[in-house]
Formats: sequence, C-alpha cells, structure tokens
Amino acid sequence: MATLSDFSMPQVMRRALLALCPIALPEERIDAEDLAETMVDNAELFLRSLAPAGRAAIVVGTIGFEMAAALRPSSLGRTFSRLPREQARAYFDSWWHSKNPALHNFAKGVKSMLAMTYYELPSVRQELRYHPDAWINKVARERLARFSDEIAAHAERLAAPAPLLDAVGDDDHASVGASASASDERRHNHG
Amino acid sequence: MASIPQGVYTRDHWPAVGGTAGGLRKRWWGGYEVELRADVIIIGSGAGGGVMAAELAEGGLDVLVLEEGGYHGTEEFTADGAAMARKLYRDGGLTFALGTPPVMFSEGRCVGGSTTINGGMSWRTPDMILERWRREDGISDATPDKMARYFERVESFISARLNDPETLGRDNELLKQGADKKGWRIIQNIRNTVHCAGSNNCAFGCPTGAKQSTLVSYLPRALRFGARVYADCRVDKLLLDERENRARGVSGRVIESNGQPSHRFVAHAPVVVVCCGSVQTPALLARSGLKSPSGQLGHNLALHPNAKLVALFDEDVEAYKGAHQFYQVREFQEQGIGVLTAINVPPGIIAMSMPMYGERLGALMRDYQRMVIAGCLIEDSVTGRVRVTPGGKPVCTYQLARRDAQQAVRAMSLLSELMFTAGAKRIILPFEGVPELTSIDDVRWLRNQHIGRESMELLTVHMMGTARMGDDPRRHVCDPRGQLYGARGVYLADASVFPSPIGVNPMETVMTLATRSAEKLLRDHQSGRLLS
Repeated sequence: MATLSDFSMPQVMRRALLALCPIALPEERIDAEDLAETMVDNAELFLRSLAPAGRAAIVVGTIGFEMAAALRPSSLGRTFSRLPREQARAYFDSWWHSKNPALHNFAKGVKSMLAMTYYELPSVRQELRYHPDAWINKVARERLARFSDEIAAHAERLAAPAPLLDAVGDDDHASVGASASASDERRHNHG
Repeated sequence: MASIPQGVYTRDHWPAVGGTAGGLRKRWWGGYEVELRADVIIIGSGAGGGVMAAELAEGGLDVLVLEEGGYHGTEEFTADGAAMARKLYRDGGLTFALGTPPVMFSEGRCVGGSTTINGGMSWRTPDMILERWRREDGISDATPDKMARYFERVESFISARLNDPETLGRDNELLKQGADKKGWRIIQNIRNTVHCAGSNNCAFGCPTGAKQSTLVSYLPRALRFGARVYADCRVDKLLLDERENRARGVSGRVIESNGQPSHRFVAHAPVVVVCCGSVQTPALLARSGLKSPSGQLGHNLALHPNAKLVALFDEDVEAYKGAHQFYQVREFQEQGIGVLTAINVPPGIIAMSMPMYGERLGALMRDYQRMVIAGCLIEDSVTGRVRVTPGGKPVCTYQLARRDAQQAVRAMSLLSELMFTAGAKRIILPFEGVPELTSIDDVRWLRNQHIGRESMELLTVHMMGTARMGDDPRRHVCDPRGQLYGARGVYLADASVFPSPIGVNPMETVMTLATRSAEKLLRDHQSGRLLS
C-alpha cells in the first residue's frame, strides 16, 4: 500500500476536489485568484500524513462522490466534476444534508480538509488580518531582551546535577520547589 | 532543519548509528539488523519518557530512548498549522475514537511527544483524585503530602509558573470579565514556561522555546547525563525471556521520511519502560503478546471530552496575541466540568469544525479577528477501549454517556452565558443543527433542549487510563510502581497508568508519577536488584 510521499492523488479524485473547492469555500475568491489547484496540492500533502486506512477512506469516498453524481437523473450521466456549478452545488448539498451518516460525514470531512487548506493560504490569511509570524517574531525578540538572565539560569539548572534519590530523600522532605506565586496558587486551588 | 544535539540520532545516522554503541548483526534469514544495548530502554520521549530518561540517566543507568517521531528543534516551529500538524502529530492530528459521536483526538509524534504540542498546563493531581487512588486502587503513597516532593521536583525542572501579566490576551481578558460579572471562580493558569512570550502557538510547537516541553527541558538533561535519544525509531514489539517472563529488549524499524520502514534494529536491556501514551502503549503491549492477568489492558480509556464554541464580539480580539489559556474558570469543577477557558485556534482549524460551507462559512470567517474560541473539559463518567487490529494498529472506541452529553450541553450553556455577559453578540455552538445564539435568552432556550449525541463535535487531547495502576492484579494492569503485572522488567510511565480520569490537564501528573517510578527503579538499582 502506498504511503506518504509515495501517495499521489488519483486524477479522478483531483478532478472532483478541484470542482468542489469553489462550492465548499468562498467561490468568488477561489475563482478570481485561481486558488483551487494550490488547495488540492495542499490536500494531497495532508493526505500523505494520514494513516493508510484513513487516507484510503477519503480517496474511496471522493471517487464515490464523483461517480455517484452520474446516477442522478438530472445529471444526464455526468459525474460531479462535469456538472454545471449550480447543479454540482445542489448535489454536494444533498450529501451535506443527507440522513445517511456515511454521506453526511463524507461531506463534512472533505469540506474540513479543503477548509484547512484554504485558510492556510497566505492571501487568505492576509484578508483575515491574521499575521502570527510577525507577532511571534516581535514577542520572541522582546522575551530574549528582557529575560535572558532567567532563561540562562534555567538552562543551567537543567544541566546541574540534582540526583533524584538525594532530592526526594525520605518521605519527609523535598529539595526543590516551584515559584512562590505558583505554589500559592496551588494551595488556593487544591485545598 | 534543526541542528541535532549530541546524543540525538535520527534516520540520517543509520545504519552506522551511535558509533560504537551500535553493531550490525547478520540475521540468519538474510539481511542485517542494528544491535543496540543499554541498561534501560525507554519507548517514547514525552511527559513520561523524557522524565524517566533524565532521572535514570542521572542515577547512573545507561539509558536509550526510542522515539517514533522525528527530531524538530524550536527553530522549526511556525504558525503554519497544516505543515506543523504533518510534522508533529500522529496522522496529521486527525485520529478518532469511534462511537456516537466520534471524538477526535491528537497525539504528538515527535521528540518531546505531546509535550511539544500541548498548551503546557501544569496542574497537580487534585487531592480528591489522589485520595481516590489511595483508597480504591491501593496506591498507598498517593497523598498530597507524600507526592509533594515529586510535584515540586517536576515543577522546578519544567518551570511551572503563572504567566507574566503583560501576556494576557484580549480573549482571556474577556473571559475574566465575564466570569467576574457572573461571580464565578476564575484562576490564573499555571504553565511550564520560562517567561512565555505570548506567541500562542503552543499546539504547533513553541517557537520561542519558552514552553518547557521535554524537548527543551528533561531531554537535554537526559543527554547531559549520557542518555542516547534515537528519533525516527518505531518499536514494533517488546522482546521477552519467556522462561523467566521478563523483559530482554525491543525490536523495531527506522522510519524514513516517506513513512516507509527501513533499517531493522534490536535493542537489548533488562528493563523496558513503555511511555507511548494511552493509545499506543496498550497496542504495543498487545502486539508483543502481553496480556494483563486482569484482562483490563486497553480498557478504561477516559478522554476528558471537550467541546468548543465560537463567540463573536463587536471589537477586534486578535486571539493569537497573548499567552495560551491565561485563565481557567473552575467554578464548576466539583460538578464534573473541570475547566472553562478561552483558547486560540488558527483560522484553518476553526473553519474545519464550523457546521457550514461555502459563502456562509466565508462570511463567518471574515470575522475571525472578532472571535473568541472557548472550550470546556468534562470529567467523563464512562470509559472507552483500545483494541488492536490484526495488523497491530490501535482502534479506539468510546461511547459518550448520556450524562456526559448533558454535561457538554450544560458546559456550552454556561460558557455562552459567560460570553454574552462579556459582550458577545453571536455564538456558534459545536452542535450540528442548533441555530446560532444571539442573546442570553437563547441560552435559557438551549438549556431546555435535548441535543442528540450524534450532533456533537467533540475532541480531546487527554487520553488516560488504558493500563491502570493499582495493587490488585485482578483489577489493575500495572502495580503501584508502574511494573506490568505478569512481566518483570516492563514498566509503564504515561497517562495509561491513571486509575481514573483526573479532571485537570494531565501532563504534570504523568511527569510526577514517572518521577516516582524512577525513584523506585533507582532504589532497586542501588540495591542491585534492577539489572540482575
């Protein structure tokens, strides 16, 4: 069985996901910026990290979703990816609202996977004003500037000998303690 | 790529791994395997494994840590959630306990284990839980006084402390305002940090190194005292001396970057400590043909199920700015709702869990900066189970009890009430088919609704109790020292040994029990009994 980087999405699955992207997520932006290909590439990366059984379930489910569209009379034999957008949307909606848990859970699962890939895209993060990297860089610099002595002291403590048997001794005493404020908090909360 | 500390070996070092520490042995049926030797083999490098490694190495034992995941240093951690999930989590973080509803759970698979990806909450085991373990499970030293020396030692090494006030984010400020107005007990969180910078990226690895996961605390300490850490090494089974019924080592494979197994290895030691977590530990023992005399191995899986709601405010909250879970509401702890809190969740993960799609989802997500994500932790009253497939993979099953489902609804009602009191305008619940709440009147309505379990979105990162510890081989899987009943030299040191769920974040309890077990192993070593 293929695993991780050996896994490539079957073409029929890729077609289905490309058609699904503008239905499961904001259509206008995906079409305007041609984001679907990138989303599906990222979905492929995600699938590589799954256990083989989970990945197989998604692959089989997606192919089933694609092919089963052809069985609906209104589809005139066309699979999901060949349906006009509105008809495709109605088809996905029928799975989303299905009373059959397998169909419903597939619709939820595949939407989740695509949602994750969409909201990781830099341009989408930009639109949401979500800039964690800049924030992380800023606070990391500030921490180092302000607390370098304590950071070094803790690193030294981690490297210093403090044999367990000496430290815990008998039942009656301990040799090292938490910070005073944390200890006070514990007494307060675990009386 | 992270620089690899001395004493840590990855797949790139094989087959000439560890210099003289390893040897190549020709197998009689063809091919080679690398042969390693140590006094103690520790499987897993998280809260249990990291502590065990440092304590036993400092105590003079030759320690070999085998970790299935890769080595990723602090400099590799970013806010790219999808990439980090692929790198640091088992199966990309998408694993489920099967049942109604399925409960999503996450396990760390990297050096540092789940301590690399948790929020760093460092709470002692509640007194009432210790008392229950002492009374019902025969763990005679499970008293706050006797455990204090272990707790204090752990807290010292992981720097358990309150967050610095300036790292309070707006989401937690709103949580506090709401709780204060309601008159509910809210406390500052204690976390394992050396001055948390408030980057709120804990779940994808601390990018500043402030969080004292075992990756940056206990494992460097273990290396300092001569332990060896082998990353990318999956243990397939324990090797036992069947005549004497005791551990003699482990065998496994190195895992390549494409997930394929490559080099075989066998490691010999008279003591094996299994620290793979509540899902993988019973699976490994079962794969090795070990059964507990009690028949309880893999049973009693507790999850602390938690649910999360999205509260929308009129102001920018920017929840990614500030320390993770600065506060916890503990007002309802005695009633089985351990914690109510606010957490930062990246947009991709929020969008995944929202019960909508298309333009409607897009419209909601455009308000991402105005969201407060708030969640609860429920002390569960039923237990699930870990079974093993014929291929040796664990499968978790867990059926949410009706009472716990009601608790989830109650917890979401309470959180909604708190959020409206703090000024929220809309609330989206983790219950499919239940409309948005727009006022506190809607919360009253919610309380009277019957919400089907199948419509609930639950998740957890607290798996506990599949190899529970206690003094009765007919009820427990390992003895109060952590040694497996029925197999000498096999010890367990992770959350699987919890005799019951604990109602608070489990990391410190795991570390403390591991410290306690390490002490007992070292006393045996001192008296010459451990390795004989």
